[in-house]
Amino acid sequence: MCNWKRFAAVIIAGMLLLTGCGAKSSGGNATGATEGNEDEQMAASAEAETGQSATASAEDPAEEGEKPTLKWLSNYVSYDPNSEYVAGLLEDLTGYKVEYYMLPAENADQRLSMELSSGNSYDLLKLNYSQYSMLAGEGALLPLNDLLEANPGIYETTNPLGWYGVTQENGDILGIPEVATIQTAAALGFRKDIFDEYGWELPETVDEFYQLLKEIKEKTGKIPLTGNQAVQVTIASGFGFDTYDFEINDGKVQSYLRNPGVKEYLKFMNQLYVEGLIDPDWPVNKGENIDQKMSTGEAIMTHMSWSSTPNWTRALQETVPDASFESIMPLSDANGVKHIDPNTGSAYQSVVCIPKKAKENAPYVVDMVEKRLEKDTFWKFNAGTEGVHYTLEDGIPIPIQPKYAEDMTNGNYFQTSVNYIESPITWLSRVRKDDLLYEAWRDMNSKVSKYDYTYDPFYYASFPEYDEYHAALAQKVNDYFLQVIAGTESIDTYDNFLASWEAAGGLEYEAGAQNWYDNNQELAQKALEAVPAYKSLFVEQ
Amino acid sequence: MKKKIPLKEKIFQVINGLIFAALGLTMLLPFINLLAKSFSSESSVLAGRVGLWPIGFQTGTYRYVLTEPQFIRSLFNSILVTICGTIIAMILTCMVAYPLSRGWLKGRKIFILIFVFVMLFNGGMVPTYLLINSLHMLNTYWALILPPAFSVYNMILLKNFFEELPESVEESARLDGAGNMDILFRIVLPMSLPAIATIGLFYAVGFWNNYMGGVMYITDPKFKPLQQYLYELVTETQRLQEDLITGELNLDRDAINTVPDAIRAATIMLSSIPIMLVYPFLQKYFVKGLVVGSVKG
Repeated sequence: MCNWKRFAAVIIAGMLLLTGCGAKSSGGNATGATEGNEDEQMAASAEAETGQSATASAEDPAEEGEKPTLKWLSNYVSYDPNSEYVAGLLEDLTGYKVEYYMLPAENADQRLSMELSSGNSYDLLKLNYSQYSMLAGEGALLPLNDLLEANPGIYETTNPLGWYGVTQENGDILGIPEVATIQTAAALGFRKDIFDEYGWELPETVDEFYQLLKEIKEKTGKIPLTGNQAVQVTIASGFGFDTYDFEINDGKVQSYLRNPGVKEYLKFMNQLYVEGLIDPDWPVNKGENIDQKMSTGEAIMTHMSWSSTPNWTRALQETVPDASFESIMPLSDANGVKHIDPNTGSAYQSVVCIPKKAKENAPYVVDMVEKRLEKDTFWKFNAGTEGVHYTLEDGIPIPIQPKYAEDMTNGNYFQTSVNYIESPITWLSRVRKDDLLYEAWRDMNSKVSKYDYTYDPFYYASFPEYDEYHAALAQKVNDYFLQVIAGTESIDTYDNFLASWEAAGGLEYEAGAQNWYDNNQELAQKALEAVPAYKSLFVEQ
Repeated sequence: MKKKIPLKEKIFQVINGLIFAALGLTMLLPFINLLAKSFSSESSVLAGRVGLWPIGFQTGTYRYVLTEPQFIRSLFNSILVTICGTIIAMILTCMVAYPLSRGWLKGRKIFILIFVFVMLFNGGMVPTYLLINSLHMLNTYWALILPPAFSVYNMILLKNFFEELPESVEESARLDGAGNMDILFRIVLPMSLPAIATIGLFYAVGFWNNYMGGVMYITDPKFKPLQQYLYELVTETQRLQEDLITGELNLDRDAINTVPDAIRAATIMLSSIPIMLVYPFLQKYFVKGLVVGSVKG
């Protein structure tokens, strides 16, 4: 008769066990983190309240006493950062235990808002720039000015240009920026072995390029050029515009869409499409289709990043042993200028910021960031330990495999900004981990270093209209351009398109850019004068 | 005395058979293709040469996936959540369905009305999130177990099944001195095994496939369920592509270390095995159970 009672008892026991598990692994640490250091934190906040700047409180708790466990929230990665070698290493090196939490891959922004607005406590947020802007706009972030003064190492080791993007109009600094190293990441890649076989020269102008495509099609019968880009940068360069959103003429900022070269470019692309000189699947290609066409040898050229080349080459070499890729620089326009964009994407890799609610642990977070940027620590978690993970050759870290791959592969996740003096060097260990990867990277960057070219003056720009309109407008342009290339829209509709682009926020976007440009002449000038990180490496050779 | 099947019927059956075969194949072939990919070399997968048979046979992908800590962890999470969740869900559902199936329960209609009401209307995503948050269940297994632990639809199915059981059995048990709990656990439930198995399977599959729970309530990778892990792995490349168009992603780093397709295929294969193992054991109940409550609507 008591059978069900026994059953119920087992279930209740099971539930209790489960509750124990949950509490231990989630709630437990969180409260432990705050409770354990209650005294220090109270002292810290008391000091801050009595008019003292956070400076004093920032130094004291960091130097002595027990450090709190910090909760870190960042974007999705496919592995668990908590179990990475680098996580443990950094705990030893900085003395801070960090628990890593992550947003889901989908709807990350909404989830982030929800996490913060419902009062969940994270001590440190590592976000992409648009997420940072969103939170900064909502007033959810803690100004870091005083804490940064107290930890001067951060200013000394990070790229000074990055700070413009995280400083509010009232002077509040709301984040610690991680700025990308300027280098070339992608170019038009071609099959070196096939070019050698037929003795083709690398094209310099649009006409030469057109002849080359025709010849490839005639001689090989393969797809001369595949891709899916609305703006094929190599070809666009021949028509006098680049991938930057804005052009400046006598101080007037306007969208590149107003450049007459764009219409010519679209006409040319449509002609190539109609004549079958580019992939007939161009408008619908996905990354995997392009991968497939390149690694089966079905197509001869495409826009490639150096990171995609090793896979293609290895697949090709199973049937064509001497298959290899090299890159072509953007074509010269009517004035003989090549429009090279070494910075693919945003200047801001990430921004580290602190929610207002996490004020108590903020001094510890900033202290930890400073420690991670210190030269020795930075080397240890970016390149590894000398003799174990890398050996030095001419000051460049060369990975020791397989140890490097085992421990260091995901090290990049743990950056809290980068030490801009050391990171171009430590980063070389990443590109040297694979010979084919390195070869492709070296080829692109050494070719680029032979040319003088202008940088995007808006590289470090940040203005509200960018956050509001950029992504939607970019998508709109992408869709329309692909339609014109495929011939489903006539180029005669370009003026209508431009009008609808203006109506969809294009005018506001331009006005915002103009406003930013007028008020940030100095920063725009500095961006123009930027030097690629590895130029000296190639020019000297 | 063979009954002659009319020609029309024959044609119908042939066409029917063909359609079903085609339908079956459209579901089976992608699965076989994935299986072949998971055993093929990465370069042949990349080149799109793999059809229904592996090319460049290897098992390294499986070794890799089985030593991938996040996969093991997520697999464990999903198994734990599925087992505990199904048990809890079945207890809750039986406890509600049984009384509601008895005519003598006072206010039965009102209770049913309330349940049907929440089936049709609920608080929505954000309020539910806030509730889970204020219950301190974020980043716990409970957040994955409790929200989907009671389905009104399943409860009504079970209630209808209970109603069909002959009342005389219950009455005689009552005469022998059995209480409500004894009747439920010793009489009603053993008689309802097909329904229990079917609804248990509905719940188990539901828990196993629960993806939104992870997206909504989990930020600690320790608690990430398998479906979320899988989804994020599979859509990784596509997401990177979209970010490239809008300029959100910077190619600078080796951030483009995407997971190779063959490993992806192996992960999908491995993660579908556990739930497939459950089917054969419940098969015999399943067919009977599918018509649960169908006589009484």
